[in-house]
Amino acid sequence: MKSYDCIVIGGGPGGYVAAVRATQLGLTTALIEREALGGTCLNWGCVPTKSLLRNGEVLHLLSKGRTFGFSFDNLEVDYAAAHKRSRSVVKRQTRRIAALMKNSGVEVYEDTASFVDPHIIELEGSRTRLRADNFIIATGAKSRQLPCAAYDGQKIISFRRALDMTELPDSAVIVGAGPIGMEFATLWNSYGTKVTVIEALNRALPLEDEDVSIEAGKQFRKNGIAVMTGAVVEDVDDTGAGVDVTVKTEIGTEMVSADLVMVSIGFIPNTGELGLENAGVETDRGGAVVVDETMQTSVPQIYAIGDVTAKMGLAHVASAQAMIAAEAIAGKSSASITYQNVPRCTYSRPEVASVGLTEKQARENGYMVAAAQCPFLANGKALGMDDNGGFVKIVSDAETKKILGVHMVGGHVTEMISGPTGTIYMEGTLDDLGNTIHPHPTLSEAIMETAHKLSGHAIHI
Amino acid sequence: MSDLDKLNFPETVKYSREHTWARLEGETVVVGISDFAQDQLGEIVFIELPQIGATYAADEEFGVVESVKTASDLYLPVGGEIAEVNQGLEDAPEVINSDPFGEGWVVKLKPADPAEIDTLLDARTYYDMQAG
Repeated sequence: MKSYDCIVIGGGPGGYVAAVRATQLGLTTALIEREALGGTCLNWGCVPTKSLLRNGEVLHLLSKGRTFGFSFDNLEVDYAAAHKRSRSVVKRQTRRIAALMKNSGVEVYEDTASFVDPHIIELEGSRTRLRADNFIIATGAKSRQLPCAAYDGQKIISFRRALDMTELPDSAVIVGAGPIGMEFATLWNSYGTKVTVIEALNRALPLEDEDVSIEAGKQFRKNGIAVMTGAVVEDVDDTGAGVDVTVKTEIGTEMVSADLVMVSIGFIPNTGELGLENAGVETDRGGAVVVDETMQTSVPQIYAIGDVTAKMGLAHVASAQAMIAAEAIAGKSSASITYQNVPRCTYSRPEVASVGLTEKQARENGYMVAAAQCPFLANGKALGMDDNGGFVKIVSDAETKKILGVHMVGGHVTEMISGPTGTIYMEGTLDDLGNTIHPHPTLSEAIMETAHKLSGHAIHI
Repeated sequence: MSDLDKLNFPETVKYSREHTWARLEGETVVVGISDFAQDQLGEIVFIELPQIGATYAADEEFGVVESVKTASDLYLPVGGEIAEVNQGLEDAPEVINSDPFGEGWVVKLKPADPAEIDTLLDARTYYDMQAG
């Protein structure tokens, strides 16, 4: 039986990063991937959606021809071409990952693994067994279904089917106004699909700071996306032509009809088929693998990272956890992750990006909070780009002036969040942020302006 | 990257300074990337091919090849009109790495001037340039 220092199960942004780091640290490493290298992120998540959203953005700009001084007849829009480009982007990246594995000396098995005991896994396809001193479980998660309606791959779908579609429906219901729901709503709306988003909580993007959610919700509706909040799906009826979705709201029950319904209400960790009980690895009630700060599970030589731990379902978190796990196996200690200070991005229109505590969370944590907003309204760059909606909001500790959170809604804010993330990482204060000269003209200088505002000396606002 | 001696410099094609090769096949010129070039590039993940019917002069950029390490512009060794592109490279660009002079051909063109191919470098000269 082949033996390795480390076997990584799952080749997504968690798994493949862990494998590379492990080989860097001198560990003989194998990686088991049952479907496609790059995992959900690369194949059916982050990457293809950004490619599609770019196409949607171009379409959006074209629709503003008069503003920008061009006109045309007979604009032909081809969603299939947008889909094709997104798959081409995915292919290019998966090839990169495959080459990365080869160049790093990671042995890749295209197979499905399950534990036989705490040191041995069995590969389903080849029916071989592999032994390792250490394992890193990085099997990710799958889309949760509506309790009342299972996925049928046609009319009741998840993001995976949504990304495989080469044609868009005329109308759609999206359940869940989180980042995935709002990104698809943005994309489909750009292409002329009539979209209705149904959200159980009281606002769109409910995990964001309240002010940001409210502003984003306003702009979504202004863009033509119907958003129903405080609304729960009770039933989905396949009518042949489409679906009838029964929605219970605060005021009663109503029916929304559409060609299909996409469900994006969260994720379930992929632990069911791993044979974890054979290895003695504990999971919680939701099926997530229980881990400590070093990503170690209840079995000392087995680690778990990424969506399968349900700690924070973001690709960059999986990659950061991957580094910690590989380093722990190699006997090194690493800085642990402060999850609240991990940046979160939503690539809808408008974009949303945030890091740190929301204003509400800061108050709940007992801080004396000083918070302020600075709109992009008067920002020169934003005006020039004809995209001056939204704002930057900073939440700070009134006593120490430390930055607790930065929350932004507007164009390109996802590219602006890394700066404030660094400031928070360094435990920076309003003065640090305010004294950092931001270039002009940029959208990001609004961050500096907001810091000035909180310090009592805003110039422009 | 490999030793020059481990790479192929077949005499059945002529070479340009920009590491593309050309071979006359009847009235068509077949164009590809040299073994030296693919070795330098590393594993190729993507190639941007030109449109059929597009015309380019010699030394004009006609495509881009992307590897794990870098992206490189491709320059036509001789001028002409693109008659055919190697569609298989869309799904398997790594064929350029494994068979740069055979299955890894990139485009076929109708040369503007068939004699232009004689102005290219022979295998020995091209080899010496990389060795020097």
